[in-house]
Amino acid sequence: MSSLLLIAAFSALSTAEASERGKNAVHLVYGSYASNDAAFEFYSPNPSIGAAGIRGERALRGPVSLVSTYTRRTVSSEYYDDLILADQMPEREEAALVAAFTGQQFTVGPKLQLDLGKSAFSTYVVGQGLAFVGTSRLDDAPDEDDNLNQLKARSWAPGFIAAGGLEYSPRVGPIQLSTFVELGYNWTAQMGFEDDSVRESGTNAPADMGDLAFRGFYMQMGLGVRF
Amino acid sequence: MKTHIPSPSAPVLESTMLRRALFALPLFAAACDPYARPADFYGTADKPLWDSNVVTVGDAVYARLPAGERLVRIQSDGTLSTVDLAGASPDRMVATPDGEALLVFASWQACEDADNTIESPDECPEDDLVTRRELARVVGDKRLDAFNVPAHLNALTFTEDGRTAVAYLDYTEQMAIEVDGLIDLGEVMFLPLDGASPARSVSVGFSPEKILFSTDSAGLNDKAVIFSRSEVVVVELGTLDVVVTYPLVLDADQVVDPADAVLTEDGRVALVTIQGSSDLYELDLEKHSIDLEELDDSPVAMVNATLPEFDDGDDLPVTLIAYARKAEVEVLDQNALELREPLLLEEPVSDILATPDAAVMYNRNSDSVKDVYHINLGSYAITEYRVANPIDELRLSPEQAYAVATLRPEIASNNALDAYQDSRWGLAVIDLLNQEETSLVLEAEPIGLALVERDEATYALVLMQGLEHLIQVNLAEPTFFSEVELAAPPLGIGQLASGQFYVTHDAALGLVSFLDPSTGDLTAAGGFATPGLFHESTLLNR
Repeated sequence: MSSLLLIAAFSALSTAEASERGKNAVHLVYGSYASNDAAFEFYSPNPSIGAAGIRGERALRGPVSLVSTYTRRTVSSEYYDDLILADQMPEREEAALVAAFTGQQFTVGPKLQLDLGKSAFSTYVVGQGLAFVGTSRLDDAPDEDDNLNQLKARSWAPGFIAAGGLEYSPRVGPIQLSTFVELGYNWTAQMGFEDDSVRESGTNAPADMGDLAFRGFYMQMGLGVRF
Repeated sequence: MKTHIPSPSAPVLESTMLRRALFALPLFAAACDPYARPADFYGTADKPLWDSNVVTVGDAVYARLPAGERLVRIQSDGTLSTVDLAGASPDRMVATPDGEALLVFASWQACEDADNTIESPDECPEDDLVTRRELARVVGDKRLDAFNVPAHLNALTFTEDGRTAVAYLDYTEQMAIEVDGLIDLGEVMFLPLDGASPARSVSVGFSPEKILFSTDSAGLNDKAVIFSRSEVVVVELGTLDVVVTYPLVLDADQVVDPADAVLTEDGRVALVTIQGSSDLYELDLEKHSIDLEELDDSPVAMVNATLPEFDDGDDLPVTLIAYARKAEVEVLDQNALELREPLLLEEPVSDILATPDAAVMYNRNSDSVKDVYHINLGSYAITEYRVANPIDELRLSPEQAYAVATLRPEIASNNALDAYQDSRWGLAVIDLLNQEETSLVLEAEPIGLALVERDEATYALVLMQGLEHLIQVNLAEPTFFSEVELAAPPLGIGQLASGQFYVTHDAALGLVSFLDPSTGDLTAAGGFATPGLFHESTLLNR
């Protein structure tokens, strides 16, 4: 019901007195970055990470603007299985392991917006460079604050997003409500995770835990204002 | 719902302030803490993160990481390092007897397709995907070299001098045996660890299970005696030639499986018992002849011992042979190969521990037998102890002054207090010098027992399932004990070459504690199960 009211409000706005569309924008966003990496299954059974955040847009020249987004999300899984090979394992009531992954995405890139006549709708394409910061946290006694085995490993990888979208923004007033949805493809290089407490054979280098990458279908939608 | 829309003619309302506030929103988003919430999912793991059945070499413990397909070395000072197996995954491992090296059965996947662009097992045609194996020798955290061992040979035994390892098939029911072309189920492979000669396979009949080594006059192992179905094969270790084959049956249609075997102290004769038979085979390894000794019943245990100062002050080497159903132990004179006067007991025994001048005998197979016998082999004097519950495991202290047994629960008797003890796990401490026995009740099932001597006292260290402490019992006063707090519930206990003990713990990311028995200090090394945790299977084309 509230969605219908929102649509009705936007429709009413679109018939209001026309003015220039705001050149800058801020949106609260929610979207999804695909992983399709088997290593991500350690944290989530879903092959993507849904992330919420905020996006800013500043006009550059004509239909071209600069878009920058920050999103963040933590997913975690609890393991109650016996994760140790042993002749006898004690009965377990608490989780044997909590594995959490926090993905933070910083994106920035140009956006080319094409108005559809004088309507409130416009389409656009956007290409953004991406910095994906991943933090892996593992804890095998989550109920103990001073557990020895609380491991944290962080890594980052560059990448990109290529997407096309549809925006609805009634050209009314100096501050205009705006919503959009965009679909595309995200790609990151491999993020290599290391454990500082274990060294690799014959070196002082931290032990390699493995790689994780986010590659695949990308989607984001937002609600905000143009001004 | 009303939405206030400012009119275009409205003053440029605090636009600068508003814009700054809007652009500051990301800072508020970043400040949120997403961890203070329950987990999103329940995870399931395909493979365990680490194997608590660790192996010690020197002052280090090695642990396999099945999920990460890596091997880690955990030193008693807390140093953690991976072991380079050249990309292979560790399947099983055994320490060499000299405590210098680790032998690791390792495997990896390879693709026999000629397409060089194939990188992962998923891309390789099923028919071309193969598993290759090797036996890698590891010193420290380095792979020194490797032996090409057939895939089905999964167990190792070593000569006492540590110069040769023998790989053989240790078959268990339902075990999958990989056949690449053909395999010989009677094959054993000799691996000269000193590099003096190349590894070589020898076919020794069907299902070889027990391998013993005889010693020459210089104290070096010279022959391997291999016991397989219906025959015993002797292999010269210098040349790896089969010296002699002893058939255990005269009719090829007959099948017998060796149950147990020992070599006499001088290595001249192999004594072999047969499953379900009362026959004792005496194989003369010098004359290549066989004698049969008819025993009273089917033997259950066979141990070498010495009757001190028996004949004219000389020690007499003997073999003690216990029966499953008869309350007596045969004494076989190894010099004359004749049975002497048996040791007569009140109840049958299943296990014998021999010391230089005595033997401790007990029964682990029967719930109704709770006797422990301490026998002076010089005088044949028998001291009988009776513990409260059936024996699960029994050990002698390093100086053999105490016997310590873990006791398992049994069907409770009628008396209330007896019933209480019967239904619980226990610990029996037998003071063999003062001839005293104490049976204690344990809080939980014991999962590890170690005996240690320090400060002129002997202690039993007992780990119990689910308890985050270790019980330390002074065997001179077993009623009094102390507790050592552990970092996490224990899984097992073992000893390093230095005398330190290690304790493995129930911690998914890996946890091993090291206990210094001289000080009681406990140090923990944890978090070693992460290497390779996110790895993806790859092909290795060596």
